[in-house]
Amino acid sequence: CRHEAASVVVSSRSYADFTPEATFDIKKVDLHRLEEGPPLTSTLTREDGLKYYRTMQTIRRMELKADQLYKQKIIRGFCHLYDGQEACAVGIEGGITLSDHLITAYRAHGYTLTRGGTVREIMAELTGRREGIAKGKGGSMHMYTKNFYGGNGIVGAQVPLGAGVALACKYLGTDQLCVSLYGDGAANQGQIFETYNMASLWKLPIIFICENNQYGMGTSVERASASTEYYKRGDFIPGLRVDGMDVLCVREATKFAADHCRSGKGPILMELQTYRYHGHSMSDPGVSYRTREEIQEVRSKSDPISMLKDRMLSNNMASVEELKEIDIEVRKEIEDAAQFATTDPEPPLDDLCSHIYANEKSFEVRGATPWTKLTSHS
Amino acid sequence: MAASARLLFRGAGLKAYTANVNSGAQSSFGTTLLRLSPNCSSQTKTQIKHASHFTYHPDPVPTMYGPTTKMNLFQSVTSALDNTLASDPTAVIFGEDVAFGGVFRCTVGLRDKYGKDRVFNTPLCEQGIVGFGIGAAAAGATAIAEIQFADYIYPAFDQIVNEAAKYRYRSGNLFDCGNLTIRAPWGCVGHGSLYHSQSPEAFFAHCPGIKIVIPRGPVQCKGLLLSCIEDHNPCIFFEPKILYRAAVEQVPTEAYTIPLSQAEVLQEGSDVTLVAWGTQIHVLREVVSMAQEKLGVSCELIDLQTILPWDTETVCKSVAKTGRLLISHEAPVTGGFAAEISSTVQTPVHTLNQTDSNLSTMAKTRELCKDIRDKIVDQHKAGMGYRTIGQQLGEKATTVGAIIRKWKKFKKTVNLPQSGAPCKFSPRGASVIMRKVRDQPRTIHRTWSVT
Repeated sequence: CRHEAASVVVSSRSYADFTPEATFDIKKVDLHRLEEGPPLTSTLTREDGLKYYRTMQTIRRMELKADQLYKQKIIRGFCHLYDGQEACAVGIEGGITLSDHLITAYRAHGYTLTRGGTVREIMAELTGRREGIAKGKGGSMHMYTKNFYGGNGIVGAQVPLGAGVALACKYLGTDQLCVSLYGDGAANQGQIFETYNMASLWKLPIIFICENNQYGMGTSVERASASTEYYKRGDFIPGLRVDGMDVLCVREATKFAADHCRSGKGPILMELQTYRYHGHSMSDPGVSYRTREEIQEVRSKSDPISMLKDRMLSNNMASVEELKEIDIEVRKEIEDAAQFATTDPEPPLDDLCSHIYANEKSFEVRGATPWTKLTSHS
Repeated sequence: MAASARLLFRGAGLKAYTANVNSGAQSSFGTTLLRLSPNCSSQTKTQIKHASHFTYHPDPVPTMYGPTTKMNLFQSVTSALDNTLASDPTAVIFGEDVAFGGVFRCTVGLRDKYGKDRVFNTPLCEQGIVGFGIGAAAAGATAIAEIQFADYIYPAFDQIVNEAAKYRYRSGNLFDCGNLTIRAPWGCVGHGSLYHSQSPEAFFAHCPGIKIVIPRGPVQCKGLLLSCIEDHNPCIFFEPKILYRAAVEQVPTEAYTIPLSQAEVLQEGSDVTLVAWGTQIHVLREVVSMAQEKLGVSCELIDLQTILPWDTETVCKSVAKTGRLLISHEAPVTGGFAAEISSTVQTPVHTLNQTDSNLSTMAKTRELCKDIRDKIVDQHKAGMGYRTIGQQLGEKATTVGAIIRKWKKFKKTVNLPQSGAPCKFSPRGASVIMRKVRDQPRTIHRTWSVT
């Protein structure tokens, strides 16, 4: 059939006709207390390009699916979506390795994926089922994988934690670092400044990243912060302000920051200027504090996936059909995952009180009435 | 963000709550078994969902405070704040997102009415909000701070406990922050999970110098909030978030106060004292009517209202009358405020959390005091028979036997809460009682003669 023929044609063209790699100009990065910044160009290989495209598309589709499932009340509770900010998660992961550590706040679905989670596990966690990445007990805000410390509900509380992880890296001499993310709203929390001080004093290998999506819930940055130059807020910590909608920009900046940390120079701060298309969470329509035109404008001018796609197509690094095929595969993957997430059984009642403590004998926990007892297993 | 308030009531279970507003006491079982929604597959049909519910019981219309209008809980908060800003030119309201009206709509319209220098947003910094509030209060302003959820109050814990509570004391009454009131949404809401459902009153109860107040409905809320604002001590006012929309009453439009540290006896009774605050009052109201109907037990229901300093007199007097106490609250059992109440009252109690209390502790025989019970056990250990012991101490042999059996089984002579359904009566005894009550539903324990 025609489709088959087209795919045959594509595969026979893949090695001969596509550019294996290309160099792109990227936006200059604003610097604070730094002489030099990341390079102004970035080289992207075809492989990496397709990988980033696939991952970003997966995140985008996954978030939109979560939106759908939430509206169908299959996902309950709280759900904070990451679409629009995909370049941040993918770019950061491109600049570090899976053996480095990362911690973020509640808008964590994208990071769970880039840090090694599968879409199936993530969606099952959103629907609170057995096969979820946190065994169905965490939900949207509490997802974890190896070297990914979540998924944290209390705003700002994850940053000192990240410093602790960084200390462990330094202490154990592993040459790993920790990436600690927070948002523009959290940037005004006191504990973040305490962390800046500790990290600088002890030269911890930590990259502070402020994902500035312009709005802390419904409050725009001008109304929340005396200084909206979040990359300078670290004061004595060198800072970079990066275009967070361009995956290559984020990647180069992260690489630069990682080198800075690994060479023992101490912490560094990155502000990623990005944007979220959805509201703060599923209960926020997202249009009472910003205009639909603004959202549309960002979508049309700076969408991270479109930007990457245009770059690759205009430099002949991939064909339209190939990218379409990736889209179709991604869609299928998400559909399967959603199907799995709705049909997987919920965790057994025995699990409800487990893991309150560790290494304790099983003890009884009072249930909803004094005569229903649940057992806590460690 | 106005939409966030809507979310809280989008859950399927809550349709039941709002439908039951204003419908008074209902005699349904407290634990409802819900079928899973049709969305879930056949694999999960065998799992049964348990859900708790409560039915909101509105207060009668108050007549002594002037004209009233229909308001729900968040509107009663707005009304109280409106009255305060109107009468007190130093009053200011601040917190996260309060300017547009707040995530629960408690401050809607106030900024437009009183200006942006009196109702303003703070950045995301609870410690800063409370610290700032303490300073503003100390300087003479009536500061009303909002913490967006009680779950977020912990960064401000140091400021509240170490600064606000001790300011007057450590300055020898030279300075104080009595003008400070902190408001926070509190308690279970159904889908709040770890960080939108907490009831932290017990943490703060351990701190002299502050007051903690929790209302059960709009009329109480407005009166108590105005009292807190007027009170010359820093107050924390927890508002049950599940009642923001579900609780609708006729609330006076003028300002009025309800005294702090005074528990309210909502219903008089003779067999057992029930104490609760906030949402649990409505659960216990249902329990009271269930107990009366099905078990013939007369309950005295007390709303504690002020957690700190709490009205020990009313509670103790009531327990002295009934001899039994049952406390219900949402927070964890260990170290929860019920522990404080029960230890103060110092009679054998049952402390319960959350949902129903199964008052199958029916018409009892007189409970013997611990000394006599210990004496019985000692005498039995020495080799005396039941009848002999009974004759010696003037008790029935069957009573003696029961005490000794209990001691043999549990190794204790005290009546402590035990797992499993309470089993004071043998099944035969229970059927005797049930038969009597079925024949004569108006049987009360005083007319009972138990053999």
